[in-house]
Amino acid sequence: MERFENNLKNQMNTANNVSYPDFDRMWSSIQQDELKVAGGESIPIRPRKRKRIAIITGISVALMATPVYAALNYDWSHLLSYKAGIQTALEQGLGQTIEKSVTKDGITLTVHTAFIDENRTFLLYSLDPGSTRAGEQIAFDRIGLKDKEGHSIEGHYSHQWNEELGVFQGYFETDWVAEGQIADIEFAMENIRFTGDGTQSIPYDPQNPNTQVFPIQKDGIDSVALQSFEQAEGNVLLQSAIRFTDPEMNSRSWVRIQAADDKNEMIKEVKPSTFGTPAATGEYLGQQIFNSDSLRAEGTTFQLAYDRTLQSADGIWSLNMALSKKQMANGTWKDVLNIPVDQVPGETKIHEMIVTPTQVRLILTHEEKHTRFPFMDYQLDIGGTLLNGGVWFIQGQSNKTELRFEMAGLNAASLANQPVSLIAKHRVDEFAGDKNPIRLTDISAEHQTLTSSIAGYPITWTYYMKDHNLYVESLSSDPAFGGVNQTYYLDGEDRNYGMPAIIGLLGDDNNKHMDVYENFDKTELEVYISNYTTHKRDDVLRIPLKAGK
Amino acid sequence: MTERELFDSYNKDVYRTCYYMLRNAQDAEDLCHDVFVTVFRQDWRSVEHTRAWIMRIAMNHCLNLLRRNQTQREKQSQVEWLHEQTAASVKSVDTIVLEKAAAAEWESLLRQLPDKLMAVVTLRYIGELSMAEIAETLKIPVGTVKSRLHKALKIMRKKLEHHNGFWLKGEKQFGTF
Repeated sequence: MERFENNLKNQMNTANNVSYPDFDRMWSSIQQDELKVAGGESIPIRPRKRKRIAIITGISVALMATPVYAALNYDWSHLLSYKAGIQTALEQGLGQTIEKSVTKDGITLTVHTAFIDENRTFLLYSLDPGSTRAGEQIAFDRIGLKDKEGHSIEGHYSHQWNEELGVFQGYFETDWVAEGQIADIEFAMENIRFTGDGTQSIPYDPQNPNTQVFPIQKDGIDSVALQSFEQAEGNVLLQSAIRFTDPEMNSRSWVRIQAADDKNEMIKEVKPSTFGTPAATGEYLGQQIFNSDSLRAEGTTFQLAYDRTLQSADGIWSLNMALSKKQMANGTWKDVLNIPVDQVPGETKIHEMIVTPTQVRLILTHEEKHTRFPFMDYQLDIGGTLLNGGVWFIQGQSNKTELRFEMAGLNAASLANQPVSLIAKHRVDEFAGDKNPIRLTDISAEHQTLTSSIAGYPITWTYYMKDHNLYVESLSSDPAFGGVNQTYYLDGEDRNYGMPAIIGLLGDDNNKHMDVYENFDKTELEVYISNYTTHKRDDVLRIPLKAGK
Repeated sequence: MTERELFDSYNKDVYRTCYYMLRNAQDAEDLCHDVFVTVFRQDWRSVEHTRAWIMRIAMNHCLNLLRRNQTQREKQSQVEWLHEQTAASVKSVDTIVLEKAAAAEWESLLRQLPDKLMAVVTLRYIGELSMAEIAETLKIPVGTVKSRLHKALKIMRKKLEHHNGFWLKGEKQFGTF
């Protein structure tokens, strides 16, 4: 089959292109043996004996009641500060006690408690590295679960060093949920690496706006290229592009720039930094924003800092366990809601609410694929108690959005009787740009500005040449304007997009955007706005989900 | 095989067939339901080529419905340039836009196919029916099946190529951050 046909076939058969209906519900309705659409058609009906199917839902394995105090010897509250629902369930004794250990090469892995429900599988573990390796940072080449067929189940982990007990306390979390009531799984970590900070000072000149390249040639790092861009409020953005000789470093190095003042004290970033975005030619990009006065003060020194592997312990630490949903089953239920949300685009519905003792999930469905629920902040109001939540995009499910709320200081049983409402705040909408070109003339190294407007929002454009590249910056004085996402120029009917030079996050306060057109050799250009966003920071949407009892 | 197992094996293919033919999720869902009701009313266990047989029933249901109500086809909405981004994710807004746009482009091309061509394409690529089976299902000669398939591919390829320059350029430059 030729490639085009293959593509077409893939397109038509890829599950995420079509969002499927609820087949379980359809099955129940098929059992009624009635046609919905073709009701009037005469199809010979064969006599049919309806089988009565007894559904056996009993759990065949009796689970031994085990005391929960063992896990409570550890204080997990700090580690679980962003996983409040797990902390709540732990306090209520709802976790499944595992308390199994494996020791290898002097390193002991213990799984203490498991939480398995209709939303996620969550393990609390500790890792005792032995006295010689105490206190260093650790990382794993692989960490995860395997089901009984041997399929890997990925997730993410976090851990913290507990000085007092001399162990790392960590959690592993995955969206994977066992199909039945119990599941035999294996939890394993492979090749434990002990890491420390590596540094290399670099003679970066903060007064020089051009790209400065420094060879590093150690610990898998080839070189770093630094350049700075002026920002609003007297800030400067320092962009670092790192090349590695060891490609593995890409995912584990966390390379960042550290600046120190003349007293050798670290100069802190004034805004959150972004690390690890891939550049066009494969570099690892970092973006840090500093106050430009402190960065340019005399005596400021710069160094590259990164994680490097000090030693590693190869092998697999694995534990088999039988996880059960029993502990959580009491406070777990699903409500099919199908509440249309007409205030947002894409024919969005709040399809379902899944409640477990640790988390509430709202499943939103969209008739239009890739619809973004246009709010930044989410809360669930449960009879006056507010749970904070956030948006999760599920890969490969373009017709769905999930809102997840950690069950903090509330138990699922009380939720059952309370009225529940969804509160969404800070609306950010996206719009396509218009057909009015922004004419850049006399392009040179000199910074030039002009103004335009779109939908009534004023935009100031600044453009200039640097390192043979054309930079086009846009900024609006109106805080309700969220920024231009990207610009393009037309070559015939084709759009040629500028490459964004600042990594922007949707909904942040910075509406400055910068595109770079590489190897630009003309003096004039007409650019267009691809998309832009707007903010309604005070917009609040409140949707009642269920009434109290 | 139990009825439920049969349903689980084919529900997605049947649904997709209905979805692509009818271009409407609700109709597709209702029709998918009807297809299985029809299947279970017959002596399905004695059918030899179950897959082809079910696909044929699905297609007949679709064609009947299309014939019955030449209803308002939903107009293909313009490709929306929407972004999704989480604070934790560094995946580029524009990369996502591109993925969406490419999928949307295919969808839009499929939606533009005339019913007759769509029927052949659906049976061929979702139903995985042979040319002869398609001919039998649609009650047309095998030669006509081939020419319709050829025509459908030609139309789509032409339209896609028209946009290709755009996507390719976009991809190259979009995917950078």
